[in-house]
Amino acid sequence: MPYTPLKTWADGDVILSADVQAELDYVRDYVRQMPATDIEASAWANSKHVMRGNYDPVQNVADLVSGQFGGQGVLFGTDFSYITAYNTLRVGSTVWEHVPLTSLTLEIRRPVTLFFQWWAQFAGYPDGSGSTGYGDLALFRSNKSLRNTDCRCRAPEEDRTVLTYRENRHVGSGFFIEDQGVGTYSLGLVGQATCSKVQLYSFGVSLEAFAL
Amino acid sequence: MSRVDNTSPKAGDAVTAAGLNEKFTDIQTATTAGLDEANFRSEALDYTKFPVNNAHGKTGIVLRDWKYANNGVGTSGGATYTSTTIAGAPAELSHGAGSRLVWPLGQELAANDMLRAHFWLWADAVGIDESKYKVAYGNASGNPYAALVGIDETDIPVWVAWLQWDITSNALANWTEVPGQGDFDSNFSSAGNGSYCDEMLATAVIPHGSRYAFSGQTYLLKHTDLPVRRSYNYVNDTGSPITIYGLRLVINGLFHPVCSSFTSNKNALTKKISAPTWDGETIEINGVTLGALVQRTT
Repeated sequence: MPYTPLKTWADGDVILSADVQAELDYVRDYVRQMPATDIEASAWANSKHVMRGNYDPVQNVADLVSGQFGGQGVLFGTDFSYITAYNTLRVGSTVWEHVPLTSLTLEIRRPVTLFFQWWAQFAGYPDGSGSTGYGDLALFRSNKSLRNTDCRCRAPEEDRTVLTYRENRHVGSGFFIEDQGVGTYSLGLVGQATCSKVQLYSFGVSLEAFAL
Repeated sequence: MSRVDNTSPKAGDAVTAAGLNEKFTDIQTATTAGLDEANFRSEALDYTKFPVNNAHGKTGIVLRDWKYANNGVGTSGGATYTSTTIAGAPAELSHGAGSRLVWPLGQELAANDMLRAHFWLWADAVGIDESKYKVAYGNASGNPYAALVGIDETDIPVWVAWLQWDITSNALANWTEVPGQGDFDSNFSSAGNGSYCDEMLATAVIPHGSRYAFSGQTYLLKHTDLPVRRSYNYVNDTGSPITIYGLRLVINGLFHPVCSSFTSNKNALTKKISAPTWDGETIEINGVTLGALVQRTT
């Protein structure tokens, strides 16, 4: 219910400090326990009333009241990434490994709905093995074993004996939507390859974590 | 709006009963009317003040709902679709509804709400009639990359996959194209049936093959293991709410690019009616993923 003053002073009354202090204490207690019914029910809050968020420049992720949003990307000619069948911790060509430069780490402090997107321009280079291999990209979250291949993409090994860049389709893209509880998560790409090198020469990841 | 006066007394001010009472009756007046933007400072509201859900982020303040479905097929063992003549209706890509999005109670897309749909599929072009795709020169065919001998160069057609929705009822018996999307069945007279390219906002074009020139020869490449991705965004600008009961993907083929007087000199994709016939060729679609977000924009 609305605030009601404890005392109403009349002309001629002696203003006692105890009375004034009691009124102030009453205001303090009311504010601390203010019921929702004393706040205007129709919409009044606008963006200026909302606490400003934090920005992580390293990951390019903004942490806002409405959620976390951001991403990162690499354009052609700056940094490259790769998938390879050799010289890694992988013990077989079907083992998935993290793709460098494609991960985001999030600290989620309240349940959200995650929408993750990725894209990559990537091509498989001939390794002279006599067989035509490929490289695949897929999404992982938290660790590479929590892998989602719903939007798996593939770049085949180029066959230089017949045609240059025969497949002519070096762009892959995928997405994923799921609810996620409180915790620290990593999201990014994992890859597997059956040829010596599949190079990512332009790629990006994007995250939208809706809290509201 | 009622603003609580926080002005403090200054040295020399007379303290009156009326003045003192006003400090507290201001609060009574404001709380009786309901505190609003006049009484809250900038950045007064943190996320703890908003109604959050214990399991997800679709509180309705920004995100209203989401759906996601994958048919579980992976990269092989999917369904084969066959190209048809002009009258052929599209086939659903959902492999037994495994990748359909369904809202049994309906999902409101209010005025100015946004629908964001994304889809992905894994295609294999398995049935190409090479005799149709002849080029003016080249070697005899003998391997998948050999040039094709003939005298008539023919453009290589495409399959098209696009979004439909049902905004009628949860019976899901009234699928129509999403806004901005044609049904690929408009009649362009001698040019065949299809849609203009500016009516393909929710369409993924899947090439039936590719033609390459290499060392003076031209080759036909039959695509295998081809991932395809597309997204579609729609803001409800009708001024009235729309209720969505389902979203699905459909596929049809084969279509050729056309720009002629029959298409009002606009680019279009049509099913050609001239020989050779373009029915009977096939494509295999394996994994299909469809996802959608419904969110407010105001």
